[in-house]
Amino acid sequence: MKIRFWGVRGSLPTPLTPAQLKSKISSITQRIGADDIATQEARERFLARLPDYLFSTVGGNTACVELATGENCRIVFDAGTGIRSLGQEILASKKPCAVHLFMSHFHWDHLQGLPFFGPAFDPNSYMTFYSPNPDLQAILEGQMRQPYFPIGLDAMGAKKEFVHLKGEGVKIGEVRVHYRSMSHPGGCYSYAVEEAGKKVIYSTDTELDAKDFDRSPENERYFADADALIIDAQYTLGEAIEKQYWGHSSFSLAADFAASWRIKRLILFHHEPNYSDKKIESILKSAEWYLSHMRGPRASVILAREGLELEV
Amino acid sequence: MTSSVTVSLSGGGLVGIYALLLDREAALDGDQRQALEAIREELYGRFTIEEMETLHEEYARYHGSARS
Repeated sequence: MKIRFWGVRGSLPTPLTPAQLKSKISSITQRIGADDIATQEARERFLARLPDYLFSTVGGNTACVELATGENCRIVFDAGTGIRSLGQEILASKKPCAVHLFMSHFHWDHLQGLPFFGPAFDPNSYMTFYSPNPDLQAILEGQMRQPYFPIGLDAMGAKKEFVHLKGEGVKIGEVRVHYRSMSHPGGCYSYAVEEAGKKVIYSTDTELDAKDFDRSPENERYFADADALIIDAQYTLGEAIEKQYWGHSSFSLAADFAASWRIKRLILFHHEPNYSDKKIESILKSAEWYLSHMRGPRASVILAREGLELEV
Repeated sequence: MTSSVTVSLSGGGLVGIYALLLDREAALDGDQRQALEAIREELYGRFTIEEMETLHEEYARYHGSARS
Protein backbone atom coordinates (compact mmCIF):
# COMPACT_ATOMS: atom_id res chain seq x y z
CA MET A 1 0.00 0.00 0.00
CA LYS A 2 1.07 3.54 -0.59
CA ILE A 3 -0.07 6.41 1.63
CA ARG A 4 -0.35 9.85 0.06
CA PHE A 5 -0.99 12.95 2.12
CA TRP A 6 -3.12 15.65 0.50
CA GLY A 7 -4.03 17.61 3.64
CA VAL A 8 -2.48 17.31 7.10
CA ARG A 9 -3.58 20.41 9.00
CA GLY A 10 -6.11 20.29 11.80
CA SER A 11 -9.11 22.44 12.56
CA LEU A 12 -8.98 24.94 9.70
CA PRO A 13 -7.00 25.65 6.54
CA THR A 14 -3.75 27.42 7.36
CA PRO A 15 -2.07 28.94 4.33
CA LEU A 16 1.47 30.20 4.73
CA THR A 17 1.19 33.96 5.30
CA PRO A 18 3.26 36.51 3.34
CA ALA A 19 5.11 37.37 6.56
CA GLN A 20 5.96 33.70 7.16
CA LEU A 21 7.17 33.30 3.59
CA LYS A 22 9.33 36.44 3.85
CA SER A 23 10.77 35.20 7.12
CA LYS A 24 11.73 31.85 5.56
CA ILE A 25 13.36 33.56 2.57
CA SER A 26 15.18 35.99 4.84
CA SER A 27 16.52 33.16 7.03
CA ILE A 28 17.67 31.25 3.98
CA THR A 29 19.48 34.22 2.43
CA GLN A 30 21.30 34.85 5.72
CA ARG A 31 22.76 31.36 5.46
CA ILE A 32 24.09 31.70 1.93
CA GLY A 33 27.85 31.98 1.51
CA ALA A 34 29.67 32.74 -1.74
CA ASP A 35 30.61 29.07 -2.17
CA ASP A 36 26.98 28.00 -1.89
CA ILE A 37 26.02 29.71 -5.13
CA ALA A 38 29.20 29.18 -7.11
CA THR A 39 27.86 26.29 -9.19
CA GLN A 40 24.56 24.58 -9.84
CA GLU A 41 25.80 21.61 -7.82
CA ALA A 42 26.73 23.87 -4.89
CA ARG A 43 23.30 25.52 -5.01
CA GLU A 44 21.60 22.13 -4.91
CA ARG A 45 23.81 21.01 -2.02
CA PHE A 46 22.97 24.20 -0.16
CA LEU A 47 19.23 23.72 -0.65
CA ALA A 48 19.44 20.06 0.37
CA ARG A 49 21.09 21.07 3.65
CA LEU A 50 18.34 23.48 4.62
CA PRO A 51 15.97 22.29 7.34
CA ASP A 52 12.48 21.41 6.17
CA TYR A 53 10.89 24.11 8.31
CA LEU A 54 12.74 26.73 6.21
CA PHE A 55 12.76 25.29 2.72
CA SER A 56 9.35 23.67 2.91
CA THR A 57 6.12 23.65 4.88
CA VAL A 58 3.98 20.88 6.31
CA GLY A 59 1.13 22.46 4.38
CA GLY A 60 -2.07 24.23 5.24
CA ASN A 61 -4.77 22.03 3.71
CA THR A 62 -7.05 20.16 6.07
CA ALA A 63 -7.36 16.39 6.40
CA CYS A 64 -7.26 14.22 3.33
CA VAL A 65 -5.23 11.02 3.05
CA GLU A 66 -5.22 8.61 0.13
CA LEU A 67 -4.33 4.96 0.29
CA ALA A 68 -3.33 3.40 -2.99
CA THR A 69 -3.93 -0.34 -2.82
CA GLY A 70 -3.67 -3.25 -5.21
CA GLU A 71 -7.32 -2.72 -6.08
CA ASN A 72 -8.09 -0.52 -9.05
CA CYS A 73 -9.58 2.25 -6.95
CA ARG A 74 -8.63 5.04 -4.60
CA ILE A 75 -9.35 4.74 -0.89
CA VAL A 76 -9.54 8.20 0.62
CA PHE A 77 -9.95 9.31 4.22
CA ASP A 78 -11.78 12.57 4.76
CA ALA A 79 -12.61 15.39 2.43
CA GLY A 80 -10.81 18.34 3.96
CA THR A 81 -9.45 21.01 1.65
CA GLY A 82 -6.62 18.68 0.59
CA ILE A 83 -9.08 16.63 -1.46
CA ARG A 84 -9.25 19.43 -4.03
CA SER A 85 -5.64 18.76 -5.12
CA LEU A 86 -6.33 15.02 -5.29
CA GLY A 87 -9.30 15.82 -7.54
CA GLN A 88 -7.11 17.93 -9.79
CA GLU A 89 -4.64 15.09 -10.17
CA ILE A 90 -7.42 12.64 -11.03
CA LEU A 91 -8.93 15.02 -13.59
CA ALA A 92 -5.51 15.65 -15.15
CA SER A 93 -5.15 11.90 -15.72
CA LYS A 94 -8.29 12.12 -17.92
CA LYS A 95 -9.40 8.70 -16.71
CA PRO A 96 -12.66 7.99 -14.92
CA CYS A 97 -12.05 6.82 -11.39
CA ALA A 98 -13.61 4.94 -8.50
CA VAL A 99 -13.18 6.73 -5.20
CA HIS A 100 -14.04 5.14 -1.87
CA LEU A 101 -14.32 8.02 0.58
CA PHE A 102 -14.36 7.17 4.29
CA MET A 103 -15.49 9.98 6.58
CA SER A 104 -14.01 10.04 10.08
CA HIS A 105 -16.63 12.56 11.20
CA PHE A 106 -18.25 15.68 9.87
CA HIS A 107 -16.48 18.62 11.44
CA TRP A 108 -15.80 21.31 8.85
CA ASP A 109 -12.12 20.59 8.40
CA HIS A 110 -12.99 17.07 7.27
CA LEU A 111 -15.61 17.81 4.65
CA GLN A 112 -15.14 21.36 3.43
CA GLY A 113 -13.14 20.24 0.38
CA LEU A 114 -15.85 17.92 -0.93
CA PRO A 115 -17.76 20.57 -2.94
CA PHE A 116 -14.50 21.26 -4.82
CA PHE A 117 -13.65 17.64 -5.60
CA GLY A 118 -13.70 17.68 -9.41
CA PRO A 119 -14.12 13.93 -10.11
CA ALA A 120 -17.40 13.94 -8.17
CA PHE A 121 -18.85 15.99 -11.05
CA ASP A 122 -17.69 13.51 -13.71
CA PRO A 123 -20.58 11.25 -14.77
CA ASN A 124 -18.08 8.53 -15.70
CA SER A 125 -16.65 8.33 -12.19
CA TYR A 126 -17.86 6.43 -9.14
CA MET A 127 -18.04 7.85 -5.63
CA THR A 128 -18.77 5.60 -2.69
CA PHE A 129 -19.13 7.34 0.66
CA TYR A 130 -18.70 5.40 3.91
CA SER A 131 -19.44 6.18 7.53
CA PRO A 132 -20.77 4.36 10.57
CA ASN A 133 -23.10 7.35 10.94
CA PRO A 134 -26.51 6.39 9.49
CA ASP A 135 -27.16 10.04 8.50
CA LEU A 136 -24.16 10.13 6.16
CA GLN A 137 -26.06 11.17 3.03
CA ALA A 138 -28.23 13.76 4.78
CA ILE A 139 -25.18 15.33 6.44
CA LEU A 140 -23.27 15.63 3.16
CA GLU A 141 -26.35 17.07 1.46
CA GLY A 142 -26.75 19.48 4.35
CA GLN A 143 -23.42 21.19 3.77
CA MET A 144 -24.00 21.49 0.00
CA ARG A 145 -27.08 23.63 -0.09
CA GLN A 146 -28.07 27.29 0.05
CA PRO A 147 -26.97 29.47 1.74
CA TYR A 148 -23.75 27.51 2.39
CA PHE A 149 -23.02 26.51 -1.20
CA PRO A 150 -24.62 27.44 -4.53
CA ILE A 151 -25.23 23.89 -5.78
CA GLY A 152 -26.37 20.70 -4.11
CA LEU A 153 -24.86 17.26 -3.80
CA ASP A 154 -27.25 16.18 -6.58
CA ALA A 155 -25.21 18.35 -8.98
CA MET A 156 -22.34 15.93 -8.54
CA GLY A 157 -22.78 13.77 -11.62
CA ALA A 158 -20.64 10.81 -10.56
CA LYS A 159 -22.45 7.59 -9.74
CA LYS A 160 -22.87 7.85 -5.98
CA GLU A 161 -23.42 5.30 -3.29
CA PHE A 162 -23.71 5.85 0.46
CA VAL A 163 -22.65 2.99 2.69
CA HIS A 164 -23.65 2.86 6.33
CA LEU A 165 -20.84 0.86 7.95
CA LYS A 166 -21.89 -1.79 10.44
CA GLY A 167 -20.36 -4.77 12.16
CA GLU A 168 -16.91 -5.76 10.93
CA GLY A 169 -16.62 -3.02 8.34
CA VAL A 170 -16.30 -3.53 4.62
CA LYS A 171 -14.28 -5.43 2.05
CA ILE A 172 -13.23 -3.76 -1.19
CA GLY A 173 -11.76 -6.53 -3.33
CA GLU A 174 -8.91 -7.93 -1.23
CA VAL A 175 -8.78 -4.84 1.02
CA ARG A 176 -10.49 -4.96 4.39
CA VAL A 177 -11.50 -1.76 6.18
CA HIS A 178 -12.43 -1.93 9.85
CA TYR A 179 -13.53 0.99 11.99
CA ARG A 180 -13.48 1.95 15.63
CA SER A 181 -15.01 4.80 17.60
CA MET A 182 -12.46 7.21 19.13
CA SER A 183 -12.86 9.94 21.76
CA HIS A 184 -13.69 13.30 20.18
CA PRO A 185 -16.48 15.79 20.87
CA GLY A 186 -19.44 14.65 18.76
CA GLY A 187 -17.71 11.36 17.96
CA CYS A 188 -15.11 10.30 15.42
CA TYR A 189 -14.13 7.02 13.78
CA SER A 190 -10.70 5.66 12.99
CA TYR A 191 -10.16 3.19 10.16
CA ALA A 192 -7.81 0.22 9.93
CA VAL A 193 -7.03 -0.96 6.42
CA GLU A 194 -5.54 -4.39 5.81
CA GLU A 195 -4.18 -5.73 2.56
CA ALA A 196 -1.74 -8.59 1.91
CA GLY A 197 -0.63 -8.81 5.55
CA LYS A 198 -0.05 -5.06 5.91
CA LYS A 199 -2.08 -2.78 8.14
CA VAL A 200 -2.46 1.01 8.09
CA ILE A 201 -4.55 2.87 10.69
CA TYR A 202 -5.97 6.34 10.13
CA SER A 203 -6.98 7.90 13.44
CA THR A 204 -7.54 11.61 13.15
CA ASP A 205 -9.30 13.78 15.74
CA THR A 206 -8.52 11.42 18.56
CA GLU A 207 -8.08 12.24 22.21
CA LEU A 208 -6.37 9.07 23.33
CA ASP A 209 -7.60 7.76 26.65
CA ALA A 210 -7.32 4.70 28.88
CA LYS A 211 -9.71 2.60 26.80
CA ASP A 212 -7.37 2.91 23.80
CA PHE A 213 -4.54 1.38 25.83
CA ASP A 214 -6.71 -1.38 27.28
CA ARG A 215 -5.33 -4.83 26.38
CA SER A 216 -8.68 -6.15 25.17
CA PRO A 217 -8.75 -8.72 22.34
CA GLU A 218 -10.63 -6.15 20.20
CA ASN A 219 -7.93 -3.53 20.70
CA GLU A 220 -5.22 -6.13 20.09
CA ARG A 221 -6.81 -7.10 16.77
CA TYR A 222 -7.38 -3.51 15.72
CA PHE A 223 -4.22 -1.67 16.77
CA ALA A 224 -1.43 -4.15 17.43
CA ASP A 225 1.56 -4.41 15.09
CA ALA A 226 0.20 -1.94 12.53
CA ASP A 227 2.73 -1.06 9.86
CA ALA A 228 1.74 2.59 10.01
CA LEU A 229 -0.42 4.68 12.31
CA ILE A 230 -1.56 8.09 11.10
CA ILE A 231 -2.67 9.78 14.28
CA ASP A 232 -3.81 13.09 15.66
CA ALA A 233 -0.78 14.62 17.41
CA GLN A 234 -2.04 18.18 17.38
CA TYR A 235 -0.67 19.39 20.67
CA THR A 236 2.46 19.69 22.72
CA LEU A 237 2.12 18.02 26.11
CA GLY A 238 1.56 21.38 27.83
CA GLU A 239 -1.21 22.37 25.47
CA ALA A 240 -2.88 18.96 25.67
CA ILE A 241 -3.13 19.37 29.44
CA GLU A 242 -4.69 22.82 29.03
CA LYS A 243 -7.08 21.51 26.37
CA GLN A 244 -8.31 18.31 27.92
CA TYR A 245 -11.56 17.16 26.28
CA TRP A 246 -11.00 19.29 23.19
CA GLY A 247 -10.65 16.00 21.34
CA HIS A 248 -6.98 15.92 20.32
CA SER A 249 -3.81 14.24 21.53
CA SER A 250 -0.29 15.32 22.35
CA PHE A 251 2.55 13.94 20.27
CA SER A 252 3.97 12.32 23.41
CA LEU A 253 0.78 10.39 24.15
CA ALA A 254 0.69 9.35 20.49
CA ALA A 255 4.25 8.04 20.95
CA ASP A 256 3.24 6.15 24.11
CA PHE A 257 0.31 4.68 22.24
CA ALA A 258 2.45 3.61 19.27
CA ALA A 259 4.96 1.96 21.60
CA SER A 260 2.19 0.28 23.55
CA TRP A 261 0.78 -1.40 20.42
CA ARG A 262 4.12 -2.14 18.75
CA ILE A 263 3.34 0.17 15.85
CA LYS A 264 6.14 0.23 13.28
CA ARG A 265 5.70 3.73 11.90
CA LEU A 266 4.11 6.59 13.78
CA ILE A 267 2.91 9.41 11.54
CA LEU A 268 2.11 12.65 13.35
CA PHE A 269 -0.97 14.21 11.77
CA HIS A 270 -3.63 16.94 12.17
CA HIS A 271 -1.19 19.71 12.96
CA GLU A 272 -2.31 22.60 15.13
CA PRO A 273 -3.11 25.66 12.96
CA ASN A 274 -1.46 28.00 15.46
CA TYR A 275 1.87 26.18 15.19
CA SER A 276 4.53 27.36 12.76
CA ASP A 277 6.55 24.94 10.65
CA LYS A 278 9.39 25.41 13.09
CA LYS A 279 7.25 24.45 16.06
CA ILE A 280 5.85 21.42 14.25
CA GLU A 281 9.43 20.40 13.44
CA SER A 282 10.16 20.74 17.18
CA ILE A 283 7.35 18.32 17.86
CA LEU A 284 8.98 15.83 15.51
CA LYS A 285 12.39 16.25 17.18
CA SER A 286 10.88 15.89 20.60
CA ALA A 287 8.94 12.78 19.57
CA GLU A 288 12.13 11.29 18.11
CA TRP A 289 13.96 11.91 21.36
CA TYR A 290 11.12 10.44 23.39
CA LEU A 291 10.83 7.28 21.29
CA SER A 292 14.60 6.81 21.22
CA HIS A 293 14.58 6.59 25.01
CA MET A 294 11.91 3.89 25.19
CA ARG A 295 12.71 0.26 25.85
CA GLY A 296 11.87 -2.48 23.39
CA PRO A 297 11.07 -2.21 19.70
CA ARG A 298 10.66 1.40 18.67
CA ALA A 299 8.37 2.98 16.15
CA SER A 300 10.00 5.30 13.68
CA VAL A 301 8.32 8.69 13.67
CA ILE A 302 7.39 10.75 10.63
CA LEU A 303 5.76 14.13 10.25
CA ALA A 304 2.78 14.10 7.91
CA ARG A 305 3.40 16.71 5.22
CA GLU A 306 1.38 17.65 2.19
CA GLY A 307 2.73 15.74 -0.80
CA LEU A 308 4.44 13.07 1.30
CA GLU A 309 4.17 9.54 -0.09
CA LEU A 310 5.00 6.49 1.98
CA GLU A 311 5.19 2.90 0.84
CA VAL A 312 3.99 0.42 3.44
CA MET B 1 38.28 14.58 9.80
CA THR B 2 36.22 11.95 11.57
CA SER B 3 36.63 11.88 15.30
CA SER B 4 34.36 12.35 18.25
CA VAL B 5 34.95 13.52 21.78
CA THR B 6 32.78 13.27 24.84
CA VAL B 7 32.54 16.49 26.78
CA SER B 8 30.81 16.82 30.10
CA LEU B 9 28.98 20.12 30.43
CA SER B 10 26.86 21.52 33.23
CA GLY B 11 23.23 22.36 32.38
CA GLY B 12 24.16 26.04 32.22
CA GLY B 13 27.14 25.34 30.00
CA LEU B 14 25.06 23.28 27.59
CA VAL B 15 22.31 25.91 27.38
CA GLY B 16 24.94 28.64 27.08
CA ILE B 17 26.58 27.03 24.05
CA TYR B 18 23.14 26.33 22.59
CA ALA B 19 22.15 29.98 23.04
CA LEU B 20 25.39 31.15 21.47
CA LEU B 21 25.02 28.90 18.43
CA LEU B 22 21.35 29.74 18.08
CA ASP B 23 22.06 33.46 18.05
CA ARG B 24 24.45 32.90 15.16
CA GLU B 25 22.46 30.11 13.50
CA ALA B 26 22.20 31.79 10.12
CA ALA B 27 25.98 32.17 9.86
CA LEU B 28 26.94 28.65 11.01
CA ASP B 29 28.79 26.32 8.68
CA GLY B 30 27.74 22.70 8.26
CA ASP B 31 29.85 21.33 11.13
CA GLN B 32 28.71 24.03 13.53
CA ARG B 33 25.10 23.47 12.52
CA GLN B 34 25.53 19.74 13.16
CA ALA B 35 26.82 20.56 16.64
CA LEU B 36 23.82 22.83 17.22
CA GLU B 37 21.46 20.04 16.16
CA ALA B 38 23.17 17.55 18.49
CA ILE B 39 22.79 19.93 21.43
CA ARG B 40 19.22 20.71 20.45
CA GLU B 41 18.37 16.99 20.41
CA GLU B 42 19.86 16.61 23.87
CA LEU B 43 17.88 19.58 25.18
CA TYR B 44 14.58 18.21 23.84
CA GLY B 45 14.94 15.52 26.48
CA ARG B 46 15.24 18.09 29.25
CA PHE B 47 12.80 20.84 28.32
CA THR B 48 9.28 21.04 26.99
CA ILE B 49 8.69 22.44 23.51
CA GLU B 50 7.37 25.66 25.05
CA GLU B 51 10.50 25.97 27.20
CA MET B 52 12.68 25.30 24.17
CA GLU B 53 10.98 28.15 22.32
CA THR B 54 12.18 30.68 24.86
CA LEU B 55 15.27 28.97 26.23
CA HIS B 56 17.89 31.25 24.72
CA GLU B 57 15.94 34.39 25.70
CA GLU B 58 15.60 33.07 29.23
CA TYR B 59 19.31 32.32 29.29
CA ALA B 60 20.17 35.84 28.06
CA ARG B 61 17.76 37.38 30.59
CA TYR B 62 19.21 35.36 33.44
CA HIS B 63 22.79 36.22 32.59
CA GLY B 64 21.93 39.82 31.79
CA SER B 65 20.35 40.27 35.19
CA ALA B 66 23.14 38.31 36.90
CA ARG B 67 25.73 40.69 35.44
CA SER B 68 23.91 43.89 36.40
